[in-house]
Amino acid sequence: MKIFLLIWLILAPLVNAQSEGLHISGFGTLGVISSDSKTYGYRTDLDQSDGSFNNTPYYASSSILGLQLDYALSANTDLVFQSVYHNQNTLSLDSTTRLAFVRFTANPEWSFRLGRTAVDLFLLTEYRDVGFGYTWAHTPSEVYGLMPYRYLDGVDITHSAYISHLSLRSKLFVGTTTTELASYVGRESVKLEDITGISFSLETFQWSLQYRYTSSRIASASPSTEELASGIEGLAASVPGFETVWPNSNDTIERMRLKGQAADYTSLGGKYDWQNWSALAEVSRISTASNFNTVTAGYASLIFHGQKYSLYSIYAATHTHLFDVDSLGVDEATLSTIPSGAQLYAGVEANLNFYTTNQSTWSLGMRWNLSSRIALKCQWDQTRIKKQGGVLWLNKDFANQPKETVNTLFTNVSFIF
Amino acid sequence: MAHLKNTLLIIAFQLLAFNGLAAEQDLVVVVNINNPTSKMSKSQVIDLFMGRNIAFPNGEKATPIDLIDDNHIKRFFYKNLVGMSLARVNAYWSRVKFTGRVKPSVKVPSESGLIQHMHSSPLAIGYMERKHLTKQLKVVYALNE
Repeated sequence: MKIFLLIWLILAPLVNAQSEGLHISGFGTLGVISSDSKTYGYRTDLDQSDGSFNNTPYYASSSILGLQLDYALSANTDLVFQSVYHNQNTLSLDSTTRLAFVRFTANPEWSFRLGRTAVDLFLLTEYRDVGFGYTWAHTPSEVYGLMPYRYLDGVDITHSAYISHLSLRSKLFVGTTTTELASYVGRESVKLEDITGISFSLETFQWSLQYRYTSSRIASASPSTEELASGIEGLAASVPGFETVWPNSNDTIERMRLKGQAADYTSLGGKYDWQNWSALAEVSRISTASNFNTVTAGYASLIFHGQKYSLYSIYAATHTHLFDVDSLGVDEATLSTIPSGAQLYAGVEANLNFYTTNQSTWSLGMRWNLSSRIALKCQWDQTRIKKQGGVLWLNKDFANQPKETVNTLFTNVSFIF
Repeated sequence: MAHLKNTLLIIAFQLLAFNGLAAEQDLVVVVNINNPTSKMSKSQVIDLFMGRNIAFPNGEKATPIDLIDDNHIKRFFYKNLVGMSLARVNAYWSRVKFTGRVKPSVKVPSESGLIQHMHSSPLAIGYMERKHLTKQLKVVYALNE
């Protein structure tokens, strides 16, 4: 909290002292989360290693502060820089920089951006941290919890076409991104390379239909997976007849190894506004070549807008098939007699099911616009987690994920300046 | 007698308030007199002021000039144009701006500042009360028509 106040004290005079061509603005959220489970700790996404357990208020995960500088170099060229503080594990220029690009607008139809831009994988990924920008207290974890990626280092080309009151926006982007995955075991860096994505948006001011598809390749090796792989390789080399205990152990190792695997992201979503009502829905899919099972998720939300407040409900769900470790054909009884054999087997089971998320959430909430730039939000989530389906949550015993219904309360104040 | 006086005073205040409201609602969207654009539709005005388009109908790049939030004209303008409160308009703009999709619009504190800006910029587009129109500006869209 102190760091937020310190940053604000530094920024406030800057906002009021803008020169010609330079525009300084920012956004932020101060929030608290309370979740009632002793087993599952709520976290906003997989890069967070702390969460709320057992009704203990947790502040860091839902608090964020961002500062943006827009500078016009000429009529057609401008620079954008955005820095965000959000409970990062390591504070550095790289970890806090969300946007740093130069844009060239050739004409009203074509624009090019080079540098660091917001990653555009799903409907809300570009502005998921700008809490003031959406009605809910948080984006649905079922779709966005598995997506810790925040930026793309590369280039994008956007084409905008207008036919009567209808606009068609198409974007092609290429680049790389890096994020961290956190658990009680530790943190691991994940890098995606060869990212190529397209997004199409067909919309009027009242409605919008958007489609996105992104293909990528995982470029980093996971230290915990490599540890398991070398453990199995060690047993295969030292234990006579290991092939009968763990048939095709090399196939298991290859299945676990992340590096070089393809990861694809698809999203179809849209919104519709009529009078005082808004409806929003999205279906998403994450698939990889072999290691992880396909994750299918989605949500639908209905919002009523009053004079100063909005009331809303959301239903979100995610589904993944659990990998059946029995299909590996391992002789567990014999393996358990080999030193470290049982631990390796449990590790492999957890590894192959790391991305298996199976849960659904009903949410009810309210947004109160305290002013034209400050909003207070309160939201209650009831989440039904299926057995071995709680990867979105922090869990001290990853191998034991029981079925549970968890209630989580969110209260936050989001603002722009 | 005192009761009648109070009632008349309340009616007088209400009439004054109504007239003020009506005047504020007579808002027009204007461009520099040298701008070739002569007429715009409501959806074209929405596209420009909500960051969905950056050009006039003839393809020339536009520079929307907006008022700051404290100015009550701005509240009436957006309520009439898109049927949204300023908080919802700002929420929309925060999605457009903080994703780096569109450059933020130029903001001025008052109508006089807006008029001054528009006199010097042929590609500017702004909104104001009709009664403040000058010879160097022309109406391309009226909100109450």
